[in-house]
Amino acid sequence: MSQTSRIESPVLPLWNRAFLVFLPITVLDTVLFLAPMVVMGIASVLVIREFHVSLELTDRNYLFLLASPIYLRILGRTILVALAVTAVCLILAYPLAYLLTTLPRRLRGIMLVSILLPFWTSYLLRVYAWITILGEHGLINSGLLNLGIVDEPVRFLLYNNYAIVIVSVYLYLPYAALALYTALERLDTSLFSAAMDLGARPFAVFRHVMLPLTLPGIFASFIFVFIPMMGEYVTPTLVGGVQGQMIVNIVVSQFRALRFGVGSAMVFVICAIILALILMLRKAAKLERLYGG
Amino acid sequence: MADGKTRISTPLLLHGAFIYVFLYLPIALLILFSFNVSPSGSFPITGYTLDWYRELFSELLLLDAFRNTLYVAALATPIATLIGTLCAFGLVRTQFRLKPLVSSLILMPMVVPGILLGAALLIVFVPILGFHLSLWTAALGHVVVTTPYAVLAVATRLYGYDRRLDFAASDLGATPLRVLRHVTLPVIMPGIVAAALIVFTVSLDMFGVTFFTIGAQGTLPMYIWAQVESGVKPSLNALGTLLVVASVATMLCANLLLRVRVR
Repeated sequence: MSQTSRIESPVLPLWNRAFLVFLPITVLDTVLFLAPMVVMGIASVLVIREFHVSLELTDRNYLFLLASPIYLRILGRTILVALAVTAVCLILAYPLAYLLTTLPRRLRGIMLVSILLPFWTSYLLRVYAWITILGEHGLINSGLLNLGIVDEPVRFLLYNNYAIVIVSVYLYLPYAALALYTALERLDTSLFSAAMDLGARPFAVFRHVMLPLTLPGIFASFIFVFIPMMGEYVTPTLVGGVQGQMIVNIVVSQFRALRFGVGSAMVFVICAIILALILMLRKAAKLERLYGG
Repeated sequence: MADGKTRISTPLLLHGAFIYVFLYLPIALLILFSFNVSPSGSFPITGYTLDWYRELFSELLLLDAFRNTLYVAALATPIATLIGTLCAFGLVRTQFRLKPLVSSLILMPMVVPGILLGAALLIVFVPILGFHLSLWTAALGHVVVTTPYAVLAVATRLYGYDRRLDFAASDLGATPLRVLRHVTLPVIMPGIVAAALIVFTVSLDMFGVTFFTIGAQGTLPMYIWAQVESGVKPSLNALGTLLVVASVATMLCANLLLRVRVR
């Protein structure tokens, strides 16, 4: 890194050794991010007895996973739920992001901040609050009862995959909205007028002009919604019920049972999927745009 | 849309309104129920009370958790802010071929689910290094996850920085260190403070990485998790309301700091 860095400024020879400013974060991410991932990968093929790792090689953790149709099914369902959440987020957030770009500048800033603002807080209690909406005595049920639409509270609102999708969309929609807004904001709107002057219908303009140009925002949304969803634990635990377990629920129960071998094999598989996805989508998503430079 | 860009269609506005209601409804209910007399955390509203707030302050476990949370955040915030600030300087002020790759890799700890990173850290900390899990191990996890937030906040500020200020100062004979101390840092400071506020807020609310890296002494999210898992408790609404108010205030400050113009 240090050989390739070029210094823009004649003023601060401090940055001549540009790698020095990267040193702390390199050490931090190597020791506490990369190394744990690698070590966990190694540990997953070693025998771990209770709290001690012995240097015997074993393939039984992976064989155990492959031989358990339940785990594979839950992994598959986790991927499906994560895809569904990502799709719903994109469908809901795209028009919202577009709407934001059409607002006057001042209002735009306020609306954007207010999408993100509450989402810095009390993640657990915001999920918990959904029980008071979807639950047996919740907002929706008391509404339905008062309107006389149903005679007794409906129970299918909570403790299933749909509840997971609704609550997760609620959690991750702001990220998708922000990523799409960043992409839409950079569009030159005269392109739309040009396409329409050439006779394109509004849908054709969307399909052939707007959508291709905002692909980076779509890929970025995918990273910020799909990937956290692969590790979502709170939402399935609180609103998913017995049928709604996701893969991290299994990981947690393995770790709680001190079965670190199987647990780390699972985490390693999920992390490998995630890291591969990030590396694949990184260029297409133009993540560096987030720096606002 | 047919007649230009100025008119916003009604369906689009309705959609926008629906999304804002969807996003704010749970928080609104949380606040509403925190004042409700009925302890069931549901409708109807039977009357207004501050009992749940009073109950909060008599919970010793909660006060402990609060103290632990502040302890972890106070450990993590300065470290993450310092590392993030240095890194932001590197990203904004140098050019190198791998910069797009490096700048997206730096964001990884923010994107990878915290609970998985926590599990990886647990494997390293306990069976391999033989550590005892504590507030310190949790703080290490917090530093890794929150540093990217600090990088983003400071970088935003640095991109808007007018380098001519530095050049002017050095033309006037200031040494590089003096330029940094008397020109650059004062101008960048709002960004650094904003970064610290963001890191602090994220650390206060951090569930994922904390889950597997903390010992017997829990932080606030661990306390809340234990309560939530065991069923509905009305004082949680009061706690949630206080947390919402505190973090919204902090994030508003951070946001203002990132926007503040320096003359």
